Amino acid sequence: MGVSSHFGAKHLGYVLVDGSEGVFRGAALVADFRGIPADFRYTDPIKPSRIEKILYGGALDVYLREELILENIVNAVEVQPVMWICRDADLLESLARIAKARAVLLAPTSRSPLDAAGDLERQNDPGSYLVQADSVSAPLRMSLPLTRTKEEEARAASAILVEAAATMDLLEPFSRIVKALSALGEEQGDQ
Amino acid sequence: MISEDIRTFLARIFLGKARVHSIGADRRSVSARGIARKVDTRPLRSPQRALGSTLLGAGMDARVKGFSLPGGAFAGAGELVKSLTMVISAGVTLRQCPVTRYEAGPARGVKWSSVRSVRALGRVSGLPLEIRNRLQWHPGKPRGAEQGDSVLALYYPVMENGLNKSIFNKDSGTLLVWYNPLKAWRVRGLLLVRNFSSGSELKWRWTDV
Repeated sequence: MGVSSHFGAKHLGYVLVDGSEGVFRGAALVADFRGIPADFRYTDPIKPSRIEKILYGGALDVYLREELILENIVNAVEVQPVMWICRDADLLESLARIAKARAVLLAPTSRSPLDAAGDLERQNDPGSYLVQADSVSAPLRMSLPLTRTKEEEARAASAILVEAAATMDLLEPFSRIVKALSALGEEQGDQ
Repeated sequence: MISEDIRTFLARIFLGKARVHSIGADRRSVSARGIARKVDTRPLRSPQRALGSTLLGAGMDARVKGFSLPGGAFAGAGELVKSLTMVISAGVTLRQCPVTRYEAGPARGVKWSSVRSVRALGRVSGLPLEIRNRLQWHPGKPRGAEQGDSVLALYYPVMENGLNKSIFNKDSGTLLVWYNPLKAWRVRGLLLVRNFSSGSELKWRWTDV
């Protein structure tokens, strides 16, 4: 791989909202194409009471995840990424609506690699594609929001992913977010 | 038509037998009563009724407003319902509820205050990047392997010149790396090999992918 002069110029945004064990919290990590973080935001945990769960039912989960937490952390980020990436299908449409940049869902697959880096393979689900981001990994499943399912959109998003994958592991930042949130949760639990 | 003689005769018979009553001001007045009935509706709910609450955001308090039933015709309503009376006399306390935000109205209109978003770049800057083994997807033998090398793992992409520190995680088989952002610009692969020609030592070798 050669030298690239634009490391740090472009960023990817990773967003995660966790609602396990009845406590909701979210985080956003903006990293450059090397995976080096440029901005990180997290929300204080929100624990709805039993009364609220009864009052709001299933709407509570959706509201907390997709509007309250997601909207706040995405809008709070100061370093704007060229693309937002989530791994939760429930967040994709809201993320696409809120974010100023492109939004995609990325998920790992166990499929055999496609022929070459940059190859796209349309899947049965609308807006869903297999993307071969680099030559030494399994293809990723990329889902576009329902408002942007055209193949040109997929190609544009794929080009960004291929460029970033040359210098970083595209899904790795999610594990760092999980670790950071876990550490924060332990700290707040100790207090 | 009766004649005058008969009229006089009858008058003499009944004279004084027909009483005529007069109604003075001191007597009871005539009262007219209708048969319509008014239905009294008495609610069986608690005299203390929570109308709604307002969620207070980060404080997560619930402000519960209430009022007592008006007196007058309904003054005894609470006492008629034993369970309510018991609750009231026991001194019900309205506890604070950890509600983030809530306003009365339709569910869609419920608006919570913004959740606090904390900037904490330092939290993740110190975390290592976790590089996976990509050997299973590499076609053929990777370049960089020398005579006698058995390639065990291929870690990619790794910033060769900006690598401050690396740790091999034996449990997960991943490579944890810390970069110096100012120097990290050259991307390469890192091979983990066992070299049988040098006593089965484990060695690391840089390679281009």
